[in-house]
Amino acid sequence: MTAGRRLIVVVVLVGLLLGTFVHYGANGPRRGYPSPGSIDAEYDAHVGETVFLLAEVAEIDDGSATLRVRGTGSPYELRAVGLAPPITPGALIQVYGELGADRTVAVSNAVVVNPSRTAELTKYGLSALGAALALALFFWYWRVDLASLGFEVRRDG
Amino acid sequence: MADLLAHVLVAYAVLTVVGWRLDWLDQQWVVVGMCGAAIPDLGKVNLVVHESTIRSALGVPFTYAPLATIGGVVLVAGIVTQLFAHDRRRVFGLLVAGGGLSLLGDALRAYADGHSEFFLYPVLYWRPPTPSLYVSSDLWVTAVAIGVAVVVFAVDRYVA
Repeated sequence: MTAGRRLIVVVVLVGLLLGTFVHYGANGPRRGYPSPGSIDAEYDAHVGETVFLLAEVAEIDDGSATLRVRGTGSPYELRAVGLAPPITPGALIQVYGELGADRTVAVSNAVVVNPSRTAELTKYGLSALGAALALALFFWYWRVDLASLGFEVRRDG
Repeated sequence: MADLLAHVLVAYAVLTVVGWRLDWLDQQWVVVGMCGAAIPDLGKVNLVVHESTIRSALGVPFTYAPLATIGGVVLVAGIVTQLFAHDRRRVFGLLVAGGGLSLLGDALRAYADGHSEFFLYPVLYWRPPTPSLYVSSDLWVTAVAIGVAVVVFAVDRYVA
């Protein structure tokens, strides 16, 4: 395949990929729970519904916690009851439960995604290390060949 | 899986072991699969350019979510494949295999409602049930991946 044809294929595939970004955003699959933005904007309409939220634990009191819910809009706070320890302030958690009156969610299940900001940063650091490892090994075995406008195996690779 | 390092090391271990049965699958090809394992993590570009910024700029719905689906893996693999001068079918297959392994690892993560992500988009709009084995910040997963990769490296170098 000539370089020109490869370029055309790249343009077509990039177009398709961008199309999936828009399609997923507009008509893609949904989890079937009310969105965080919709909960915040029309809270009373969602009371009694099952929700699935991503939230940061802001405070913990006796048997309940203040959650800072993350979504597409600005974060907002909800009260969570029934959270099982160990969950500490600053943790990022998934919450599954039922929305009650007075901006409260009765938690059926929660998963701690990041127990702390340090854990989150460690995860990103390890991911950066993984990317660096993959790229370093790739260019150990492969090189850019200007004549063929593509990657070629290094002869000494 | 837990993080990109674990994804890359799992791809290394699996493809190296498969290479013990396939003569052509040597390290120069294994590293292509390792790069494929990074495709589902390309959505982390969201940390640099947030999708809400693009939504506002373009005025259309926009999400990077397809990158962590089989559809996104196939399309990105197809794009990257065009950057190779030769053996593009082999490159494409290894990129998709690496990306698929990462999606498989992600499908084992814990979700509060017991179902993982829509990994099969756009083929199926379905969230498979997850065994909830770990969360993305669990360091033990990375430790296990490092251990397995070291063992496979040693066997590959001195035994196989």
